[in-house]
Amino acid sequence: MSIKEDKIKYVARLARLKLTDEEVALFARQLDGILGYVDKLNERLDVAKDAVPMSHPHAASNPFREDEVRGSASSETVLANAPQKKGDFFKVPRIIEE
Amino acid sequence: MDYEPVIGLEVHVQLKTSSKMFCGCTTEFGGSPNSHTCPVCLGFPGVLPVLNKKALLLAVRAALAVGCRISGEVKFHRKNYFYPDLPKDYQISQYDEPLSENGKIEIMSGGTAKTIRVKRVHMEEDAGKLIHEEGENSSLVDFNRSGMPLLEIVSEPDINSPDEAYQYLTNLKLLLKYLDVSDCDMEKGSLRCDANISLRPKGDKGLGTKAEVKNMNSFKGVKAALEFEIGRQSGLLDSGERIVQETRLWDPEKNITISMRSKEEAHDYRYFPEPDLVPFALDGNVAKAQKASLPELPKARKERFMNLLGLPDYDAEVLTQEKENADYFEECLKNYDKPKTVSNWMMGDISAYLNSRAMSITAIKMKPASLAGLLKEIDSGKISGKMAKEIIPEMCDTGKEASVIISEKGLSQISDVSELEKFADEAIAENSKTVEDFMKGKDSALMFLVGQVMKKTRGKANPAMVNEVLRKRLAGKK
Repeated sequence: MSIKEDKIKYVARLARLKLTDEEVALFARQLDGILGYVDKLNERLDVAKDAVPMSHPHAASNPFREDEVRGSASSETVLANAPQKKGDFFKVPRIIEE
Repeated sequence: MDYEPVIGLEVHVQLKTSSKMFCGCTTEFGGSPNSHTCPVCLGFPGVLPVLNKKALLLAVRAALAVGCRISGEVKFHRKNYFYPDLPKDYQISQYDEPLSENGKIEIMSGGTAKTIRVKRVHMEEDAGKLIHEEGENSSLVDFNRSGMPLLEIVSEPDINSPDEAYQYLTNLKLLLKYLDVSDCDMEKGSLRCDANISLRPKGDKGLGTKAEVKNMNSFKGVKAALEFEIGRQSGLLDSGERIVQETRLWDPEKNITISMRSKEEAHDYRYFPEPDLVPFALDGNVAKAQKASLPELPKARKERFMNLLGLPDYDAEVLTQEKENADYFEECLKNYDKPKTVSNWMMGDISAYLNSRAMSITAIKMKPASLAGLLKEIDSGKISGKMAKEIIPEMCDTGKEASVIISEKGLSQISDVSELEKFADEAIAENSKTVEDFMKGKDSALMFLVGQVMKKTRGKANPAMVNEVLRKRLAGKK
């Protein structure tokens, strides 16, 4: 695996990160090194074939919650940190283009 | 050119729980904006989701009813995207190992049965609701819906007409309501449907470029939107243009779909396992227990009504379209064992009463046993069918027994022959011209005389008996 700069730019765009050209070059080099190291696994075993993907370090233990209403926070609390609000709504920049 | 539509449907239904999927906020509809929210469903840093057990069991139930194979392990994934209605910037959903796969829903297409395969049924949480204000450069967000437990039911592209899509949805909704896993109320957003549709030349096996259509607020809307898309896409193809893969919004007022230009990024959701939720083990016993507790499903019930109760196909179909109607019907049969008679009254006068008031059968005050009582009064000859028709609305309004209304109104039918003969003789004496006509062979003249007797008895006579009595009296005059 080798990470090119365009991959870094793509991932940065998806994550809404603004990177300078220097950062793009730096991260490409660093991530390439990290993933290259992980790739060493393939030298000893066929990961795709020999291992089941691990989705979680803990085994299933079914920590359920019963279906009970516990109440909600007050609207003052909920909206306390909102940069913008209108009535009890959060207000955000318009999302649909016209 | 002749095209064949290829349609796949994605249905989201809200599971019928009291609390949200991962927190203790209520799932009640309405409520002032953001009043049903907490740090968990608002995605505050440091909070942890805890799965609602009932949501999972309801999901298993629904998946079993559409014949899906249930996975032994339930894993959740994060679906990552930025949108203001999604407070965590990811939706907890399922990805490569969904709750269940490979089910099917049967529909009727042009008189023959057709199977629509269900690709997968999985769980996910709902997002908030965005309101776009007219003329404002901002949108408003209400997170009351955020974190509601949803079931996503994805069909294979086996649907080939808007009508088949409509049937698929109708049958799916009926099934989910029978199971009591969702209210399936499109107006309240507890059932939503997106459709993928592409066209291909008839006979072709390949697939064309599809459009995804959203924002349909009724099953009729889905049908209309698909019909519009078939027209739009075939027009483009005929003129040699390319179909663009895009999301389109149905506009129910203008009856058109419009391309949705949104600031949402290209679909790259970068799914990865949700680290906040450990996998859930679903051993065979859970599925077995749910399977055992499944109610009789609509198709089986319809067949039983036909085979064991002798109802015609049409009656059985109508009665099982709503679980409540079928329940009412069977409850009535416990006290009155003539299925077809009960069916006639339910599909006739009771249905008319419900329709005129936009009510469901559970809202009327007349109990099934009371309907049985009314039908017995007809059988015994105490009242006529016509009288019963007049009594039914009052029974539905007040819940009074038929016998009570009959005595209150002095409604009982005159079935004493000698009393009827008295009225018949009066009518004959007062209408000599009509009697003459009848004697000359004009049989229809008798109907007028029957009417006269009915009038004299203020509708309390049994018309068939009046007819008979009149004929006898007139025969005696010949």
